[in-house]
Amino acid sequence: MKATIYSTDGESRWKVRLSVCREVDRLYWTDLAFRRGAAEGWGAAGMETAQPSELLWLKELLPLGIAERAVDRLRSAAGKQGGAMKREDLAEAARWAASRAGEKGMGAGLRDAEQGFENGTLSEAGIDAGVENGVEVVVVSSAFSFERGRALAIRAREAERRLRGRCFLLPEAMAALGSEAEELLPALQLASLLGGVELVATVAPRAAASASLRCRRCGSGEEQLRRTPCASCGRQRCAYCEACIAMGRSRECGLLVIGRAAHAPDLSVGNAAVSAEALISRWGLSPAQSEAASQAMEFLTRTPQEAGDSLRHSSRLLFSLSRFIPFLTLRKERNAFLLWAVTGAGKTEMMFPLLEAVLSAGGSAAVATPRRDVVLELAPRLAKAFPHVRQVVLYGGSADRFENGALTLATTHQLIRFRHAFDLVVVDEVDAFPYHNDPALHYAAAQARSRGGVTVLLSATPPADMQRQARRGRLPHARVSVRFHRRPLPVPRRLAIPAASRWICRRRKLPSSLYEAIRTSLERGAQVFLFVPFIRQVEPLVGLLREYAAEFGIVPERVEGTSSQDPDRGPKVSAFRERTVRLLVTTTILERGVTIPKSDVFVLDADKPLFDAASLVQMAGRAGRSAEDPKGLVYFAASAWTSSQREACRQIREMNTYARRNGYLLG
Amino acid sequence: MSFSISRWLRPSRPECPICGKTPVSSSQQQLLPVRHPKPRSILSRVCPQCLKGLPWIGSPVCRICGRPEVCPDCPKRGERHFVFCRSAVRYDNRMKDLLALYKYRGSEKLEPLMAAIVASAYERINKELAPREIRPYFHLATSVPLARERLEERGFNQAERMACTLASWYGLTYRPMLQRNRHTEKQSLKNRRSRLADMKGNFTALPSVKMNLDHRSPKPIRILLIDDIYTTGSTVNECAGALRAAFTESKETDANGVEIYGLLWARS
Repeated sequence: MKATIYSTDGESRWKVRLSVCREVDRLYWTDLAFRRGAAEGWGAAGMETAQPSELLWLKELLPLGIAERAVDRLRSAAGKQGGAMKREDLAEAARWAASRAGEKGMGAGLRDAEQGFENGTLSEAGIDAGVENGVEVVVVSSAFSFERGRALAIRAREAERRLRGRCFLLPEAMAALGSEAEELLPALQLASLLGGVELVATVAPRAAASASLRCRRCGSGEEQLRRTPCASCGRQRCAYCEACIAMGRSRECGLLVIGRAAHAPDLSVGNAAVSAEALISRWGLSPAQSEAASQAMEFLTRTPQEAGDSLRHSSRLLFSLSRFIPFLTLRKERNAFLLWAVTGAGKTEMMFPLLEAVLSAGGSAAVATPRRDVVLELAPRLAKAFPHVRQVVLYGGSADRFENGALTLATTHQLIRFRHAFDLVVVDEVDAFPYHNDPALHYAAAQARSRGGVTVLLSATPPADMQRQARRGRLPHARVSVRFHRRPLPVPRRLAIPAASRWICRRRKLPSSLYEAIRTSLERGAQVFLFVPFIRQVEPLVGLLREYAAEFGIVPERVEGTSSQDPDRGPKVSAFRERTVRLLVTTTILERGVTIPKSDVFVLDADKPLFDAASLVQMAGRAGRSAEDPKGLVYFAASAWTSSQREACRQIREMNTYARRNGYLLG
Repeated sequence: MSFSISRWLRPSRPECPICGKTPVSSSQQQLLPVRHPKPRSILSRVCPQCLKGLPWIGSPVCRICGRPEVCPDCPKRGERHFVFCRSAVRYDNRMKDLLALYKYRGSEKLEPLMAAIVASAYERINKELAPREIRPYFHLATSVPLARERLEERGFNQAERMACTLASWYGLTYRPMLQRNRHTEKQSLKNRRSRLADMKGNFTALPSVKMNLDHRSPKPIRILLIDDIYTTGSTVNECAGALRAAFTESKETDANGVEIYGLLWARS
């Protein structure tokens, strides 16, 4: 879209502004009655802004991104001159903007005059000099103007209220407010004049006067931007962001509507002293859980000074070094807390006290998980825990996409539509797709948090760099090394068998050690998970195991297989949970978030590079999750014993040792 | 990720433009339905699985609209202004998603791929009409325009982009020749009858078309009209009608002096 720039001459200094709806600005600055009406409708009656003695408009409309940069240029130029800005400066900015906007070699479709595109060049006299002379205010229709201003301001106020803490592209804002662009833009422009929303270009320079651009929504830099001819602004090289295109297209000439930051309560008041005992009694947490939860709570309720101090104290030396050695640069994430809890530790329960602290103080919180299934599973649990809180559930295609509530439960991608909205952001499974290794989602999660807010990262297997930071004391964290039933994690055993490809299809015979192990598990009444690396192995393995069903003492229908491409995955998993399926062949799709009481785990071809240590730990974590059967069996069946398998076993043993030393284990 | 030297020594394969994954196995010399090196190189980047999923229309059954099965619509049509149409792929669900990604989501990096797919239909038309011709058989190429509001909203005209890329590959002369008079509702939301009614008189030729005609113009002028989807053929027919009307009005040509062929990305 296109925008215009203008400047108002206040009492002593010029002020440059950007407008996406020129008419509103014209009325606001030239019509006193309109301005008074707007102030009243906005709820700030009696707010008097000085009447500008002169308005200078740029005649031509500019592509939004260019217009914004021209405004920045003018502002910095005016700053250098001590706030004084001359008419020539505006003309100069116009010439600069035109040279940026009207690039050579316009596309065939755009060149054609009949399609109504301007190439962006400005005439020498590009300024309506003194067209709007503020002194000549029209008095005749003041009542009408007043009412007009008031009505528009009421709508602007409504928009401001609905957009608080949000960050929308124009089409999203239209959907959220249920109005067309023609109705919405005046209201938004007035709200922006009154300081209620921020209207900016979605893709903008990284820093002032910098040539490299950045997507303001997802933070992606030049490598994710693509420049194409654009019919909306007429530029030949208008950038758009490819990183967040699944959430709507963000363009250099596209409007980003950023709402005001949500009100942030002071969490240090009232919540400061929550003892571990109180948590145990209220939420039924185990000693290990409540200790970790109270550490997290301490982090959450610290005062801003403490937050600043701890950082400065721990890292002064590093900071001074980082100027010379770039890779020592501190991570910008200062408000993150890692909750490193083993599989089956009850991470969800540990979130509850934190959420309660924020919600009871009148703040807002978000829980972001990687998958939609988890969102849907978590929603009723959270609704039950916090029955009086308005809960919003967001995922691709969810119904309450544009609602606001105190508690937001969302897939990680949805955080991109929030800005300074939450006092607490809980990011579940930080080491999993899509959050892991996606800088755009890290940016989104950081931006969604309010200025003094806190991010709590949950993981059983944090990525290596995060583990390192935690060990070195650079990332505040709490470890939960024991499951809620206080028994050690099952340590995987090695099963040396040939690669699956050799016996699934060719020999059609289970290796004897694997056969024995599966039979033992089934005989002890356990549910058996069989993880395979590839989807194409699921079908043949199910066929082979069905041939063995009689020997295992089960009917062939009790053997099932599933994968990410299986539409019946949900029913099959619930059948497995209800024990109508005893043996489930699956890919890594079920490595997380599935709890089956009394289950044993077999990882076939565990030496494949697809299974990294984190993935192996997660799969091993499917076993022994219930209090009734805490000693599940885990087998890594492979022809080779790789470093990933060794690392996974090491991590599991380390957690068990830690738990034993700290006395968390029973018996 | 563990350090492994084999990762460094392995030849790097480009990402598949459709699924975005780096193909695990090397795609052997696949049979690609284009001969021009540029679209060929683009299609060869597509991973084997995605390439298998492209529903090429190998040989049309309906000689008029290029449908790969018997077509009940073409005999019913009143007056046909185009000679015939050919489409590159069938409009199945996968292609629907691909087009939506490009057209509605605005993922413009798909542009070369889309043009490369259309190129297969272009080469087939050429083979049918002039198998031995070295110079381009068509004198002009043009595309179906978008309404101004839609163009501003979307930022680009997918048909025009495909046409421009194609024209640059095959040395055709691209000209914008049409304009859309009304801002109609999205065609994908309508049934056949209302589409036909809706399209009536929706297009007119640009004045520049008539101005550029003179006695030196070839006879007949062969025009290639490019669009993304052929559903009922009403859009192509209306556009062809508008072009023919423009040529008939001018003194230099008559109704038979212009032949219009439709080239489409997909046939639904």
